[in-house]
Amino acid sequence: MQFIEDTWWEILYKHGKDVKICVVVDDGKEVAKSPSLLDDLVSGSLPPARSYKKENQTVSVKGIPLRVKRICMGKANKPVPDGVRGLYIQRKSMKVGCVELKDTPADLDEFFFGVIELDKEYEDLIAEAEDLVHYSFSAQFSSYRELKKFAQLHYDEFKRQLGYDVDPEETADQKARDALRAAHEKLNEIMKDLGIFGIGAPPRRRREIAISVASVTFPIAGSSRVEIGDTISDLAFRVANRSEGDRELAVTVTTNLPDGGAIEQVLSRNVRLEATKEIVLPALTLHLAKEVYPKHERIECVCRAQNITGETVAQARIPIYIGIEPEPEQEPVQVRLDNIDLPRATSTRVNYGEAIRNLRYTIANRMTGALQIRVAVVTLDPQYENQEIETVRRDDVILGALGTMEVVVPSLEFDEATYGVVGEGRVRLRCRATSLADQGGIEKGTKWVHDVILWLNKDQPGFGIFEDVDTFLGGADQPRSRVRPGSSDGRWVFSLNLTHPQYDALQDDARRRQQYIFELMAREALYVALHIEKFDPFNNEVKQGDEPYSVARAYNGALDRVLATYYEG
Amino acid sequence: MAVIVEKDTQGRPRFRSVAFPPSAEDRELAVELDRQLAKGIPAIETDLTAKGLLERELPQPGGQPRKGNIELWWNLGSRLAPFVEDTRLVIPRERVFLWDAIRMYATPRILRKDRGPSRVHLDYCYRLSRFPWSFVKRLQWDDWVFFIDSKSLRQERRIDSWMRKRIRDLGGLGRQGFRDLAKELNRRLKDKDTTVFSDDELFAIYDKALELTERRGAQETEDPT
Repeated sequence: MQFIEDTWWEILYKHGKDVKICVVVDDGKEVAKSPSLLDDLVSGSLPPARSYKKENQTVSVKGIPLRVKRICMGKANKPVPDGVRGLYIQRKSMKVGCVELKDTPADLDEFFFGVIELDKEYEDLIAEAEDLVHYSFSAQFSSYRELKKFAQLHYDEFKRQLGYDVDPEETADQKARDALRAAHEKLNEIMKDLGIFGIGAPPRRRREIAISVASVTFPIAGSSRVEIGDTISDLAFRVANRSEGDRELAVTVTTNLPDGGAIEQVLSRNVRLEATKEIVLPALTLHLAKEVYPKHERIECVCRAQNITGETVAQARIPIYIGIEPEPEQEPVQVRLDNIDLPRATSTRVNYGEAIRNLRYTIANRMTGALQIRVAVVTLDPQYENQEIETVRRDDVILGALGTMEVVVPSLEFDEATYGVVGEGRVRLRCRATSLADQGGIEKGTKWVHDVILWLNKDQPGFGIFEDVDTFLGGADQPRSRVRPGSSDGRWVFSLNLTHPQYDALQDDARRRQQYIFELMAREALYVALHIEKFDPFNNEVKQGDEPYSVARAYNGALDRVLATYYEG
Repeated sequence: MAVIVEKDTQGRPRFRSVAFPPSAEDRELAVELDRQLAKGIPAIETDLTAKGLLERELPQPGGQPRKGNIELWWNLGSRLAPFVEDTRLVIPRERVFLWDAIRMYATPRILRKDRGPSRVHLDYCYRLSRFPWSFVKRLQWDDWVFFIDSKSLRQERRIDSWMRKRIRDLGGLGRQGFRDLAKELNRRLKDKDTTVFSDDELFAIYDKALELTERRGAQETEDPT
């Protein structure tokens, strides 16, 4: 009877009034009941602290978006029966098999249970991955592999909610991160040995023009929700020239649809801004006319500045929710590095007695209400779990709705008396904004940071080809790896596709996994070198204007040399 | 201040200090601390052996020391406390160097592998020893490690002061309750900058977490499903 109840619990739960399952036995008739634990979970009767529910989620399988109707997870107070324990996939309203989850804490294992419900299309696909008796799934099928990854991400989130210290270093992609770090170190070492220099540069002056919201008045104070027919007034942007030269700019203010398409242009003018000066553009009034604006949509008001070549050099956005509730801001406060002058143009090394100059950050409030925050610029010792070395500056401020502020440190000296505690090695330069109150749905103590890693009295080990390495879930349709621009010009971030079938196939072989990552990194590093026209890695066999064939040959030669050194070593 | 953290084969010391380079006076004090540790740490081990808490024999090279227990680690922390708290010789910010200094004179019997630069076994023993034995003994070493291991609790030392104030309530939690409290605190404070909280504010958050843990414990006793 228990097997029947476990398998058909969904039917019993949803149609219990109309449907009965009876088993006739020798001494009478037994009526099946839905397991109360699952009933409680799906109906939301379990305490919120011990349950987790997400609905209408999308999983991409071979580029096709499929729908997960519901994922529910719970933690019981006593060990749950075997038939309910784990995270089960439902198909045709029946419990099929469990999803394999990683990193289950010992004291959660016996108490954990949950279900995943799929839409019809996804159910049909997952059926192909089931074994003959429908109790388990084959990871050969991407429908199951993608679902497993999806489930693991939500499981990790649930563990965090339960208070487990789910360190990204210790979760599902731990292996990838370890292998990425090791491969990157090796790549740096080999490139240096081969005399390959010059890819990437330390952070430096980045943002010469800045745009911020000077003022805006919504119909309802503190909310960006509006209705058709409403008017948004006092809409003004500030444009600042942080450079030391005059700038000619074409400035526009438009309202845009979510896909970027313009709805209307509200302002367009040419502006000449003298060095280090700023202006506030005339205040605008935005009337949301019925015939112009969509009814239930999130739109944006965008102020954009372009230089004389037509390149966008700065922009600011205000989200506007027409007839719908505003979504919580993913990043309500942004901390941006606008400028940093390091002692060396091509390195993040700082010696005793040297200084970083003209350090400038912008702190942006993306909420429609004012925020009380503490802004601090500090240096930290990563060797001792970010123990503070020096507080460079600290200010408690009120940041107006959608407003910004500048944090400037003219000079940060690295004297031996203060930094002798590090001696040689990494120093983390951090700008941190912390909420000083419970406000606008943000808890007191919530923080946002921007970090720059500096090297004290030491060259960055290896060459530092990539500024950072990370991962993405791209599946079979995306490349195995890719690079994207980093925090400043000439800096690049390497990303590994964790869900590419080739990487999947290496999951259980640490050595081959690292070789695979190394090869991809070497390829990307050489592509970057070509892209920025840095030809040293190719023994200078490449020059501007070469035929593609000779470039490809030189590229392959360089790759062969790097790989030969790697495999020899 | 300064601490001698290492000596080369000729016995020449390496100093570490927050303010660098250490002054001549600081070096003298570091040498004094070093002398005290050279004498004090073996004496502590002898004492713990005499009490039956530590094995007499050293583990064979490559062998593992006997598994410790809460009583051993609490006693070790209590004996280390006079060195740790002697602010004439060690300022609080230099405690991280003191653990290296102690390791120079300790045998493997009292050392365990640290799980990171700030998950230091000797520091855990010291922290534990600042609570009364009657309270500490209710739990096992693993429970305490579970508690202190959480980043948000390990770095924010004000939790220790709060725990000393709430010993009676905490004593009633039991092992599972204590672990649940750690999880609840971690959930509330993970990724928070706690420096913006006054003691009262922070303690109010701790109190809420304790209250919730107690309530959940009581509910579970009443309703085991």
